[in-house]
Amino acid sequence: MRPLTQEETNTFFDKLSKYIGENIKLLIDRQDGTYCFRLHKDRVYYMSEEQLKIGSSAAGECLVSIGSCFGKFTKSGKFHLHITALDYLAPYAKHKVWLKSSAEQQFLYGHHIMKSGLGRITESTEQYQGVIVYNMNDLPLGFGVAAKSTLACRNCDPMTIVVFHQADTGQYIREEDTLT
Amino acid sequence: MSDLDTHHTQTGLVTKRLFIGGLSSDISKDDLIERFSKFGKVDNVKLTTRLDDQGVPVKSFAHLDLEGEQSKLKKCFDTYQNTKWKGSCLKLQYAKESFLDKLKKEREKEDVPKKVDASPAAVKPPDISDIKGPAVPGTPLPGKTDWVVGKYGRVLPIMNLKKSNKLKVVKHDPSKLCHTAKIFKDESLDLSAPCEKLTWEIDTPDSDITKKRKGDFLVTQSVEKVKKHNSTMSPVPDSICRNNLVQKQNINMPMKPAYSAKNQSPSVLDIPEFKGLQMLSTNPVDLKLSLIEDSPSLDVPGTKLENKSLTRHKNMPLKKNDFKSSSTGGTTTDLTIFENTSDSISPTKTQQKESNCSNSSPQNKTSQNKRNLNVSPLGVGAQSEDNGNDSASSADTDEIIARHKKKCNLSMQSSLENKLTPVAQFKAKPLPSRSLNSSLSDNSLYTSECFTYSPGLSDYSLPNTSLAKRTLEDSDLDSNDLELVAKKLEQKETVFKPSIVKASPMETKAEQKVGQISTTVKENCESVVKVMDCEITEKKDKKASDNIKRLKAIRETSKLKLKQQMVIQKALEHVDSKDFGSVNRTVFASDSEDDVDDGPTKSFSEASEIKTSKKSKDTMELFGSSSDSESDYEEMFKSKPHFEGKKGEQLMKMERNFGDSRFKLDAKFVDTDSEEEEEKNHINEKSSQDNDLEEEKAASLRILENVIGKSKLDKFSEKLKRNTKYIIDMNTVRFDPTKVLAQKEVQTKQNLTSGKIPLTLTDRANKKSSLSQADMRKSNREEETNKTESVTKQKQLESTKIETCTTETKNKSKISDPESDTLLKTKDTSDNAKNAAKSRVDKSLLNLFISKESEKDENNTQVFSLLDQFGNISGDSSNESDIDTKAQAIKPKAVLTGLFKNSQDPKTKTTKTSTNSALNLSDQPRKGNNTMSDSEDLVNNTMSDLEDEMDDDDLSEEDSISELADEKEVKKLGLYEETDQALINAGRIDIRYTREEWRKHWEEIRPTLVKLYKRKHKEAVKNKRVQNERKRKQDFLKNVKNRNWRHIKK
Repeated sequence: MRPLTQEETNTFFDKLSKYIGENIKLLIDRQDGTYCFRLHKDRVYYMSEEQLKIGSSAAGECLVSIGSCFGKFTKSGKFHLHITALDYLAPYAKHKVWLKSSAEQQFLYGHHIMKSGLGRITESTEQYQGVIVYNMNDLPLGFGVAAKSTLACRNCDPMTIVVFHQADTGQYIREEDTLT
Repeated sequence: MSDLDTHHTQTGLVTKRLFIGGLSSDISKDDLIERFSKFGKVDNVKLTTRLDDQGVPVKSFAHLDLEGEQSKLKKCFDTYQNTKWKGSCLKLQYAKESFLDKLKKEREKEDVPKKVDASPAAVKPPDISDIKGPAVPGTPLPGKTDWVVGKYGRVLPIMNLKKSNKLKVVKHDPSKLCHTAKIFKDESLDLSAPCEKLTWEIDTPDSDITKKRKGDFLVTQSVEKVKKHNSTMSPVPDSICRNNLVQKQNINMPMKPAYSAKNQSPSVLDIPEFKGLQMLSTNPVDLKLSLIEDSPSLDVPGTKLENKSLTRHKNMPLKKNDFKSSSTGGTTTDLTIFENTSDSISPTKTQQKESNCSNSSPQNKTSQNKRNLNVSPLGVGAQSEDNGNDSASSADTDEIIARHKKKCNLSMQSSLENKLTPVAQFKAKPLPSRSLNSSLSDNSLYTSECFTYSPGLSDYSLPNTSLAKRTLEDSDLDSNDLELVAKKLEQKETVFKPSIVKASPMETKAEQKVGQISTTVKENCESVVKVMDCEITEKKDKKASDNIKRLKAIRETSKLKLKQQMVIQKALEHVDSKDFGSVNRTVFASDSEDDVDDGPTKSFSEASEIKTSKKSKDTMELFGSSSDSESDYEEMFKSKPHFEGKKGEQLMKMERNFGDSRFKLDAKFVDTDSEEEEEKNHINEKSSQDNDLEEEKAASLRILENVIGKSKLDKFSEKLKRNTKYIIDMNTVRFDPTKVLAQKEVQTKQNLTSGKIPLTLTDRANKKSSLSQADMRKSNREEETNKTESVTKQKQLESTKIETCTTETKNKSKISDPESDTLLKTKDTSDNAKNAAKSRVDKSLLNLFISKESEKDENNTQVFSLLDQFGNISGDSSNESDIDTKAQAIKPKAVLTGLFKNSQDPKTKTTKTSTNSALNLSDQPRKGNNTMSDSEDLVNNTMSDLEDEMDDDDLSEEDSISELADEKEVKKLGLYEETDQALINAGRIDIRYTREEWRKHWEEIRPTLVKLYKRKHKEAVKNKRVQNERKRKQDFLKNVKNRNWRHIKK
């Protein structure tokens, strides 16, 4: 377990900023305590100071997880968000997509979102902007990447993909063994 | 190979079939014949040429039979082998037999075995060619029972062998066994060292080890060992030993007169004789015997000794000393005298023995002396052994362990002395330097001499028997009559002790080698036994051998015991070493005690004893002191754990300052502020960790800046500042009542220092504060007013501090009432006392300082002041209105108050002025005078008496009205405060006023109230909208949080 290097932090924040923009600051600079990101086994964990203190006493090999996992660095150095970060990102979401209840299950099974399933979308969402997917009851379901901008969405075919699937809460079941 | 055609002929000619290879293709048969005919007769030439597919000859070779002498054949090979002939290299070989020849031969051979059988020369090993099939090892030869084909194709006989020490005949089949046979190469058998070198010798034949190997032991060592044994007595538990000795001494006392001279003064040798005689006279049998024994015949000693033993037998029941009996023996003959002397000497140095011997010798007749000498060694041995045993038994009464040790030690001593004494007598040389070997040789010499002197061995053997008997008796006595034996033996011990003391200087040395003693002693014993054995075998005396065997047995048993005791001793040593100091000390102590008792009689030994004892004491002291001092120093310089560290420093200082060196401060005296220090350290650590995290945070923020862009981030952070309250950490949100209160308080009273807020807050106050908080948020202006209020409030605070207690309580009481807001409303309507209201609002902030008692007091004052106020401003009606508004809702009132404040803002400046507060101050004392009396009266009254108090209040009210009427306008502030308090008791007031009065009030107030209500409603709607918004946001956050929990549960 170690702090992220500058490069790692860059890539990590780059990714996060796609979803929550400058709200990252709220994760780093919190009023209710000191929180930090730590890298452990290529995974980035977000934890409070207390957790860090407790966790630092554990041997690296033994430590399965600490705090909540935000994602992992791939071997090529890219960062993948995990669904476990949803709780921290959803409140600060910049761009949101609401799904119709019919498309909800499809998304939760790991499919992309088609225009037919799109209930609402935040205005001024650009193409390839990270979005947080909600159902119509404002329950966050996962992450996605806007395949088309809001404007483009309006004019497109109902079967075109509007949002690429990134992570969904269904992964808690599907990838139970790999999620940390 | 044997199957090649080698036909030995009588002429010496050999016919060989040759193979000639590597011929060129153009060589004919004739050429070959021509060439090989030089070496013999060539016959049956066969030339073969191999052709390839095209018919071109590839190679050709020839076979031919060459008949000639062996040498010629060889020459042929030499000349033609690898020589070139017509361009090709010749190769000669003996050819294999031609197939046809083979066949032919086989046919012939079928008849051969028969021929062999028939022939009488079958002794020869049969030829392998007899076997039809392949000559596999192990195949028996046909027709031959005991022949078998061996490994290498040889035919070998099967043999029937008989092993050297066994009856069984083993069949030896070479075909089976020869496989296992190994061929040893020369190297493996080659021995690195010659045979001479296998035997070895030690170069120094005189070294100790070699001597020991040969069975020779140094006398010096043995002597030392003897002394060691003495010393080994010391490890016996001190207390026990001492007790024993004391007892012995006590018992000895009565006996002393009789034996002291005999036992303890070796110098006076005559006395024992006489005494012994005297003793004998008591015993008629002994006397007779002694008379008989006086004759110097050689036979006598034996009989004497027998008699002795008999006398012993008699003596025992008579409760007489062993020593006595022995001494009786001594008196009968000179021998016993010698015994006595030797007895006294035995544990001492050999030199002393010598001197004793010399002493004794003049007294004895020369003729007798010789004879005595013959017997004496054994006698002495017996005596000493007796003593040893006896002493041991004495100890037995007291302590088993002690006894065993002594017994063994002494017995060993005696055994050694057996050898030593004769040596001393015969050689008259200083023994200490002599080796045991020499002593043994001397012993043998002596024995031979002894036998020359003594006509028969019977003399010699008899003492032994008597000795054995004695020992047996002793053992019996051990079990039977312990007390008696103890008595006897104690005396003997006293005899031994001086000698021990004499030896003490040596003991000190000997003690060093205590550990080795047991084994060496055993060896000595064995050697002695051996010597004895040898002697006896030489003499071939049956009796003697028997006796010696008995002796052996005795010694063996003693050895066994010794072993046991060594074990016990070791075990005890561990225990004792802890309890008592050094081994030295105990020994000397016991000795010195003996000295004191025996002192007068022992003139000779005394001096040395005292010296040694003194020495020992000195050494003891030295040791003790040194060790003590050492330990002291160690303690002094030992680092004390409680003086380490910062705490330790403090402690050291404290101790130094304390002045008394006897008083030592230990860790208990350390102040507890060390804990604080620790905490501090902890905090420091924490802070350092925090610093790290802070740095990390800063770094990550920097990176974030890069990622997002500084301007964007700055904007965001600004935005954040505005809406910080909306950002809540879902993970840490928990209901914390104290926190909530504190937050609200902080928000409501931003200017109040939190430290001044008491913990006892009434619910009302909370409610009010929350309401006022809501109001304050409404507008910035309001905040401003708050600020100004705070200023005034502070001033007031100061003033109140200065004021007397009574006034203080009054003020506070006025301020404290949460209903003051409602009162304010009423005032507002009447537009009478804006300034007062202002100040009241200020004072409402001071609510928190109220104590319950003050509230009580104030209740009275309130009533009074309320009336006063109502008197001024249509008192009753206002009261009514207050109650009504209260009933309607609290919120609107709060709103109103807020509004009221706003309206008041322009006038706040005036109220802010110090003059106002000064007025307050000036007014209040007056009021205080009035109220003081009431409050003082009421302080002790309970709440249940309040009604009655009210009446009293009424009276006081009237007084106050008259007073206040004059200064109404100035004092309004104070009045309003009082009315605020009065509202608390509104219920009671209701009762007091009539319905009509209330209605009157109500009608007066109503229009204003309606107006106010409308305004309030507007505000409320606005509020609600805002709140709804907020709620929605909060709900969303809650949802998120719930989801979190759900996930976690999953």
